[in-house]
Amino acid sequence: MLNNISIGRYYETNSKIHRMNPTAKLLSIILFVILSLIANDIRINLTISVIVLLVMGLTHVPIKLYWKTLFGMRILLILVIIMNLVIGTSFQELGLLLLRITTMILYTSILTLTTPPSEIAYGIENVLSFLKVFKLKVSKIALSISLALRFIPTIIDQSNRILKAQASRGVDFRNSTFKGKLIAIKAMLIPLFVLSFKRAEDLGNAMEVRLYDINKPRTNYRVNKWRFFDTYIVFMHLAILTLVAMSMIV
Amino acid sequence: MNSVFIRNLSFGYKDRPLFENFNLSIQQGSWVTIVGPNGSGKSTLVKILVGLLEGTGTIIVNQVTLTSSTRDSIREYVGVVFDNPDNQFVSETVADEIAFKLENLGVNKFEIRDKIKETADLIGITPLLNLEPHKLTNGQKQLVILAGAIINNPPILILDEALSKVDAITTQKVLEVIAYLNKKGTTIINITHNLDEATLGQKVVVLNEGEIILNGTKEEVFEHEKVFNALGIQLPFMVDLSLKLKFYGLVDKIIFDAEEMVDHLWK
Amino acid sequence: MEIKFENVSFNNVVKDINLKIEKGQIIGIVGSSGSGKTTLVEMIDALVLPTNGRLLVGDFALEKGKKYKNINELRFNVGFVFEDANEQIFSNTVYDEVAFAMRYFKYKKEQIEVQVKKALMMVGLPEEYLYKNPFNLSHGETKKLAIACVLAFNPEIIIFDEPLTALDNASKKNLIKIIRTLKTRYNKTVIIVSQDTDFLHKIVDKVYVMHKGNIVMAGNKYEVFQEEELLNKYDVKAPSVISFAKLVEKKKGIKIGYRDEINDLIKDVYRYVK
Repeated sequence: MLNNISIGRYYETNSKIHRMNPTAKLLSIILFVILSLIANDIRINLTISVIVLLVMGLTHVPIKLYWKTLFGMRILLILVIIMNLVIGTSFQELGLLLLRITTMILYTSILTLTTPPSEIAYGIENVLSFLKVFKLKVSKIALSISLALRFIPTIIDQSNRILKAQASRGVDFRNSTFKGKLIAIKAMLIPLFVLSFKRAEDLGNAMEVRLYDINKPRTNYRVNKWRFFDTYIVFMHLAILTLVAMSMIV
Repeated sequence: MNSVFIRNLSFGYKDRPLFENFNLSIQQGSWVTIVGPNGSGKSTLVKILVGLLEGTGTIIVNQVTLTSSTRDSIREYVGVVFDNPDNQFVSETVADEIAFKLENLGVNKFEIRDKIKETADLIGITPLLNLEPHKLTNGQKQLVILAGAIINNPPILILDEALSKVDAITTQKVLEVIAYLNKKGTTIINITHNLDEATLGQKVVVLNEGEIILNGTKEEVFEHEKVFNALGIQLPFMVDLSLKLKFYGLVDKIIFDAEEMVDHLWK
Repeated sequence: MEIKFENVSFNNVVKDINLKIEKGQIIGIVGSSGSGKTTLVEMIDALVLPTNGRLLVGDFALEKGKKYKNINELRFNVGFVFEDANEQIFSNTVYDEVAFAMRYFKYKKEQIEVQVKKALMMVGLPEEYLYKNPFNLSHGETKKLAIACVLAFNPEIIIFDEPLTALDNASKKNLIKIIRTLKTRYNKTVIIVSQDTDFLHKIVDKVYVMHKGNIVMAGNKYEVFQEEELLNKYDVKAPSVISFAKLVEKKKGIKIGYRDEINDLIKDVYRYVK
């Protein structure tokens, strides 16, 4: 029934990209997104795409996994093609658009394939930490992201079991009246909610007892120190972005 | 020396009291099994010991009196494994989960990496280190939680019905690890419905409705057959066998080991 | 209603199963985690469809690729008690919860109340529970409620998946009583998936051992449970009563017989010691 979300999941190798500090990676992706949005020229985009392909090679992750991510997005790509053909965009413009979208997808999968979710959350937390100035609870956001990533497969499994349990008592969503469908949804959501509340309480206890404190700094044993390579990469992103921006103003 | 010392504990829920002037001591290095029907307060007791619930009275854990300011230092030296594997496993991989407590304590990265390896090897879960929790069985998850609980070598380990949702193989493994830890001096408090687990370790406490009904060595406690029957608790097989054979005069005491029993019967 | 597995597989979880379960038997299915036992029994209630082979439940043939508009006709005859009752409870009162299935299985209004009361009585929940909040019950009571939900619509086949998980001793004894009554008084077919061979030994007729998706041992309980070495190979513990008898045989060469209950074992031991 419901399937696992497995687009671009973490794949472990020992590449330089894997060993980068996640905050550097997050900063890089932000800079890349800005770059991608402002770069209109086809030559610039081709260059960017080539560079992205080279970086993909650097990650030592099998190309077939990158292809899988792209393939997973095929519906989006097809929709873009159809919509643009309808509007009457020229083939050149459409080609450029597809190039940009594809490059963006591949770049993002570099991030997700080389960075475990906990590190991504850590990186997001650090990058957003400047928001602490605005009194936003960044740690809580990061924790929510981590927990969501951890529990989505578990909740899907539990939902499947609930569906089976209710089906065994006669709930047949497809062959029901509208009212029947509403009851079917209720029969699925209520146990799910009740169990989620119990889970939240138990998790809180399990974390407290192991001294988790959201307000205190904690080691993240996986996270790699910030090295020269990180500065280099972020600097390169910034440099390319600046060059491109300037070339467009001139 | 006591690992746990409780004096005059009182605790209740909104409509009903549970513990009233409750007293219990647990000696350091002992392995105690706590049993009792549902609602007897076993799990509540665990939560009170680690400060998740608050009662009145004196509670001393590892010679530190429990107060709101000492709670964290007490928790550091007590490992706890609760009953529901999914509701304890917080991290996205096994290794992260094992490391959780040390990360919270701010221990440095390299020490954490060493301790993860050491503990995973001890429990035998090294092949699982990079796996995600939803790919594990409940038994495997509990082994991971156990590893996370003992990673900083706490002097006390508490299992709160930790084996209730777990298969027989894992149960065996967990009990082996606990026996090993107990030999090395760790105090073990095992709360369970499975009386066979009470034949391991040294002491047994029987709780009912917030009161201690029996407290002593397993040899002493299991003699009180009638108490167990009255509470609807089924005796472990070897104990049941021993008591019945004793009645027919074939043995004169409780024998916990089956081989010993056979030798004793047919000398 | 007979259950017949003909070369049934489900992906790699359940492999090439050939099995016939006749009406009125109590069957035990044992095996370690991941052996496929839960999937096997889920197939009987069409919660999982075979990827190969054919499963016949009464007149219903379950095969790959077929669509079933009237699947409730099958489900009406198969009751499934899941391991965690909390994954099912969602009504405001115990009455509504127990009555729920009957609305789908087209029971008449007057009959529903009768069936609910009967089911609650069978599991040992007194009438005062009728309008209680099902979320406020103890673990043992919740289990009884789950069983009542199944008994209410009176299926021919009743499946229990790991019914003893986290259950206390009093509830365990009660469960044994219920299952025995189901067979002797109501001639139901009962299938129990469990790791607790001591429990199964007290009530089942036949036992199937599963390992990595295959049925590796089959027979009546004495045949299967006495093969202790083979059972251990498949991560299954023999019942204590049998294990002890085997130990006596191994150490002293005395065959004291394989019994159901500890009291019978005692008599044998007494006889052979004197």
